[in-house]
Amino acid sequence: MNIEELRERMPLYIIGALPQEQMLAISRVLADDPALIAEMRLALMLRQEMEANLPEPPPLPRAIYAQEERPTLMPAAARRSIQQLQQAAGLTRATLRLVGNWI
Amino acid sequence: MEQDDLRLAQQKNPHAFERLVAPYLRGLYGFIVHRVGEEAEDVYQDALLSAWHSIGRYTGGSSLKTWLYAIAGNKCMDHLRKKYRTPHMTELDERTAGPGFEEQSDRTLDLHSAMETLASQDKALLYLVYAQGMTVAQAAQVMDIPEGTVKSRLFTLRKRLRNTLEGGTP
Repeated sequence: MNIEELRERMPLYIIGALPQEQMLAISRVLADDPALIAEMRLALMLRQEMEANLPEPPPLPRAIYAQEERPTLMPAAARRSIQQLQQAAGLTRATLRLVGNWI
Repeated sequence: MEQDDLRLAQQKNPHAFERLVAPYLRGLYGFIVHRVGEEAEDVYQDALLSAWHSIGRYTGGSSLKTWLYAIAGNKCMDHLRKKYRTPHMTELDERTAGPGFEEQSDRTLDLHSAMETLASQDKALLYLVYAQGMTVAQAAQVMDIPEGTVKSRLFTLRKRLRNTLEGGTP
């Protein structure tokens, strides 16, 4: 792991999100490099600073639940469609019967 | 579990969507706060609504976290464009607003004060990398800038902040 790669992984190292092997490798390099330790200190301070006093997020937008708040719309539409299909089927049956009688 | 929630969310189940995005909401809101400031709530709502409408097209090409942050990043840019007409002007306005580096260069600044003088784009980038643990590639995707730009900007910011903390000229 070169210094550039180590720098890129430093934020993940701080939160312990790297595989154990990489955590150990970075710890070894840091132990011998005061400049990198200073960088890690800065990274830690940045993390603390940026996470401090962050407001709680507002709730999800209500529009996401809009469909759920109108649950009767779909069944009503479906019921109407079924009724229309039944009426059409009844008409077709009656027509076929008439044609059959006529023949 | 996340796969089940993703499938249900893509079938427009709001509760599955809520469970799916819940682990990222605090961080996402933090990113938007750093990027747009006071108007974060509107942009946050807009970004989540957009995510809800487009979750059906999410293919898993990037992590859900990066995908969400990228949507939020776009919404922030839209917001800033509307507010300042062009992003370039945004940066100028932010850099000239309040006490600048030049005025404070003769005294030691603490990190908080130093952060306050940064442009929102730089603060957001630092937040993605240092608070959210994103890689350069992920941060580049969210900020919609090349990876090389992320690397050079991080280098400059680290140097500037380090100098500030050491009491030198930023």
